[in-house]
Amino acid sequence: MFNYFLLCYYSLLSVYNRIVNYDKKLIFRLLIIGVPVLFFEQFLIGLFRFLEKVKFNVSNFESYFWAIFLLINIIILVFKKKNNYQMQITDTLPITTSIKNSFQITISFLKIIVIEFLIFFPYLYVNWKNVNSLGLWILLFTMPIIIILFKRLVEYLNFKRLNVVVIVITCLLIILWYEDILLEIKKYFSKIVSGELLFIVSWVILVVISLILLTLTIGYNYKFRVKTKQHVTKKKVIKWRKRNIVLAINHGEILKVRFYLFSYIDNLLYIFLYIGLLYWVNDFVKSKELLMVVLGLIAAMSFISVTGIIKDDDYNIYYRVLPIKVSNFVIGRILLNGLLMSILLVITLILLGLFSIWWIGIWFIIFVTMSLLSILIDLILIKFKISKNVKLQISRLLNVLGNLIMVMIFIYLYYNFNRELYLVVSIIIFVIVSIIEYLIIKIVWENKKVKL
Amino acid sequence: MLEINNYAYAYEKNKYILEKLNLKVNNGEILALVGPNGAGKTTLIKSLVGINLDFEGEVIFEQVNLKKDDINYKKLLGYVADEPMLIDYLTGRQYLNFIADVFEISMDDRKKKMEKYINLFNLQDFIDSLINTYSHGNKQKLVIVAALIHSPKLLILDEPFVGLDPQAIVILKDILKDLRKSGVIVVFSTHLLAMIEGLYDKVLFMNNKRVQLIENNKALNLEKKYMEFIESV
Repeated sequence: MFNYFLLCYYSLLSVYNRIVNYDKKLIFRLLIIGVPVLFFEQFLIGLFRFLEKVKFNVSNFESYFWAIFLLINIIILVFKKKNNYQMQITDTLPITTSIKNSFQITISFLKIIVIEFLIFFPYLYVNWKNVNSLGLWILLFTMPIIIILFKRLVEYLNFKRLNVVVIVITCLLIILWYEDILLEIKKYFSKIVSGELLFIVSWVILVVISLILLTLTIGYNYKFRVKTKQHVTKKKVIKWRKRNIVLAINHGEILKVRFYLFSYIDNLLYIFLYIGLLYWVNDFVKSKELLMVVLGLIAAMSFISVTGIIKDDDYNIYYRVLPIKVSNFVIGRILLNGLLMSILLVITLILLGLFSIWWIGIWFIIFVTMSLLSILIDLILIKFKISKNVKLQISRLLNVLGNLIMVMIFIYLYYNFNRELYLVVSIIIFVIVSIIEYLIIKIVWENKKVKL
Repeated sequence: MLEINNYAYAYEKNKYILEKLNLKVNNGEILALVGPNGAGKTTLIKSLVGINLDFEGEVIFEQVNLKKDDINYKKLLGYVADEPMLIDYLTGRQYLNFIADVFEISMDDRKKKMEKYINLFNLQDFIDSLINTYSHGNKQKLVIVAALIHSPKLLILDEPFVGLDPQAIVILKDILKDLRKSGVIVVFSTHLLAMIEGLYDKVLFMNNKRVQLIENNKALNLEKKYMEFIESV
């Protein structure tokens, strides 16, 4: 046990050092995980409200929400690369396997708790006194255990991805049922005690349950890891070799396609996030929650900084190391932006025509403008052959400023324009930026000498 | 005494990288593992330090069987990996304290040893900085200090001279010789024959699953022996 606390202590010391020394990597990693999912949560809330507005029957909104959230969590954790770097250090030290595994589980547990707090913050801020949040608290503390157990189960059974999907769906059904049970428990207890007392009692109970579950998990984990360690390692080695062969044969061709795909997914993510941003700001400005608006601005800026960083990582890791022409990727990304925007245009027009939804224009403007800004940054960087570090700083700065301006414009428009004028302005701006976008695509496409 | 009995290791079923290795190293001896890249030096070392425990055969040190009682085995062990394995966001001193805490070294003892080795390897100016700011050479020096701080009875080093400056190489060689005098077993790998000059009692040539053990003597022409071994494989 002494060694367990030693590992925990030195890990905490390591995290403390990173924060004190402003480790950008750690801060941005937190933002990369926290902020986009935060937006995604708002998107989901907005989506369900929207579905209710258009008479789509969503009877148990929270259940769906938690289910989807859990799905995301599971997918992230199941497919996340394992980082056993620090465990390798302890491999040669006289520390028992069970202590090392317990430590690893504790770290995973804490990570999930931190991430969940990041995600649930706005919800908790508004609902912390509400009896309805009992289910949330229970989920908050038991979910990491369920996820860790599930992950270990998948490792132990060594399922392929297709089977994992089946398991995830099964798991979701179980969770939906779990949520119903929680609702029943909540109803029963709320008749006996007051909301605030229930809140405090639930905290205490949850902490105790979590600790018991954690202890049990440690036991399961130990058995699973010992049995599977050798098998998993061998499989990974084979998989890695196969991948290397494929890369060598295609000499970059497959990679290009993969990059375009990344770009496409990246853009889809943008759409989700901006819808979320809109809903979020919309909701809280209406209710005059100034604090939340400020937080929204900060989060939005952070998000844009993060997307800047993701792009910079692309430059650093993929562009430079692998045998692929940078210009191909840049042009591919721009073309995909164009294609995606065309699709969005159609969807936008349909939605505008069918439901007269005024706000759909504004997020579209934000999205297009941000894409435009992103392309402009690319072009500036290409044109002036700016060094890596300067690129990074410029990219961050422009992204943060750009986003700040966008959000400010949005708030200004919201308070100062009537909806009809707002819509007209949206469409005009959209047309203008589309034309500019088209011109840029044309210029870049025709310029064969583009190099980074 | 370190005993390696019927050792074999396969990454995949029936694809052995090393087979039927039997070896004994007495206390106060230095064993050098020499061979080209991919000969299995690191594989063998990773087994000897308990990272790869899925090997065939047995490894026994001071009557402690690695597979049966790895914790007590590791209490006697100091290890320097080929790539410095460190916790990047601790300072050098914090990392050394971590190792000292794990091995339950008293505060007085650790303080003396830390100061001794830190000064010896000229780490004074870096020891309170975060490890992620260290150069490769300084990381390597820190790993060596960490391996020595608990006075191991068995010291295993994987390519220990890579990345070290000439002065540090000389210091490390002197330390290894001192350890030999005090009865410690030292096992280290290298692919440079020149590095082991005057620094081995036994040398194990390794290449393509084959091994050859050679005892040190003054008349030995190591380079010639090595070339004969490589050509015979």
